[in-house]
Amino acid sequence: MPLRLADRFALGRAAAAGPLAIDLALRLTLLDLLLRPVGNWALRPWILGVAAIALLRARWLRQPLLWLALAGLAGARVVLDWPLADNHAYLLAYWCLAVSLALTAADTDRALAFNGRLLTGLVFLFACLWKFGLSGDYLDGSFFQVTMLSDPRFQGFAQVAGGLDAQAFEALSQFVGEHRDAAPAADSGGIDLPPRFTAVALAATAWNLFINLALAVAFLWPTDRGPSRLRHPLLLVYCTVTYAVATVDGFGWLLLAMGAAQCTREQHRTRIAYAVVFVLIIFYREVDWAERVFLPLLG
Amino acid sequence: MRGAATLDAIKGVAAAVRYWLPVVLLIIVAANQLRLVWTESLSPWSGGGFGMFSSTDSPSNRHLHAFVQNDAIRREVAIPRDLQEAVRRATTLPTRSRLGALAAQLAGLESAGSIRWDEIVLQVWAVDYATPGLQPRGRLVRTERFAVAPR
Repeated sequence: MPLRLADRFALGRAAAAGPLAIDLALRLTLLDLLLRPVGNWALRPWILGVAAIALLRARWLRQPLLWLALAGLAGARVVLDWPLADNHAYLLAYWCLAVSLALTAADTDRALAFNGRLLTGLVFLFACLWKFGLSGDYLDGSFFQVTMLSDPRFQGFAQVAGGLDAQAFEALSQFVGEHRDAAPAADSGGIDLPPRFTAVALAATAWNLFINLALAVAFLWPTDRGPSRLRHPLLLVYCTVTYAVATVDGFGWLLLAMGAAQCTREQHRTRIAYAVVFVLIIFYREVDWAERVFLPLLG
Repeated sequence: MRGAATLDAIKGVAAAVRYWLPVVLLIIVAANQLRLVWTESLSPWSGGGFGMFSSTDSPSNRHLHAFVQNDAIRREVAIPRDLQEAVRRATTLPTRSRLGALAAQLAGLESAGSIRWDEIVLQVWAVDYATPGLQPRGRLVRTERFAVAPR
């Protein structure tokens, strides 16, 4: 029964994955662990060591116990950091566990593709739940307005796309960063935000609502039907756009690894696209493109 | 015959676990995160519910004030640097037990002086932003009071 349900909702045909895609997915996961090391000083060397060995020794790449160890270490990080670990930490533990379990199955490719689909779909489903319904300040655009002014990872984008010079950015940033323990005695009505900045924040909100919903639908839709066919392009576009602005590279790399696990043998170009976007996120991380390239051009 | 059926059942369960365990774990943890947000004021960014980048109520946007008081005096406690990690955990998930543990540590620091304190009060604050204009406004997330043990 559970497998029949899996077949119906997410697995598709037996050819829905292939050895090449599985190996690419595993290698991208290990690269994610090496490029964005996780855990405290006690866990990190173990995670790095295990990931490096698996990446260098082809025989170990498909060793279930190795992946179980990685799942255990990633899970231990979540427990030790409780409640501070970010979403990436949880997803990493689930994914390593999924790899470990899939590698003990006769149909490894299908099991891994199934988990990649459902985990990705559920991540975006819960993200939609928060963004569309539970959060009180997302739909009106104020989340992005505040975040673009207060999160250093968005500063370059806020200045380039929002049209703020360094002085204006500093003034707005200081305003939203004021320490408040109560409502202001005399409500000043806030600050006048530049129309372009407000428009960019609204556009970012609309784009994220659209892409999160589209990804949830595409990944949870029954295989090879309707929106399901768009899952690869949607995920690749999401990672290309999102991580150019929000440099949360570890999460992006993990999503790409999970996406790569669903490539069929015939989807040669799609697999290459996953690898290219993975490298692109490395570029985003290493080069402050907004500050270095666009800000000087804008004077 | 029965043995073969049992073996088949075990194989079926094992196969189901292989396919479904990570997915079920994700759903359980995310559902628990929703529960903790409603019941214990967990920050939506934390707890594995995929609420990051959906709300301004992030752990870094919360802060704590602690006061020791008796019948005559109320004084704010300076939070030492080595307790910042504990403060961050307590403001992210401000349960009474977590705040109590922090209060005990802070009260211990204050008990060295000559004043006898009756109570320590911990307040966890978040910041909301008015629309339009982004006027920041403090929002009291949780207040807890703990008796200070006599020296």
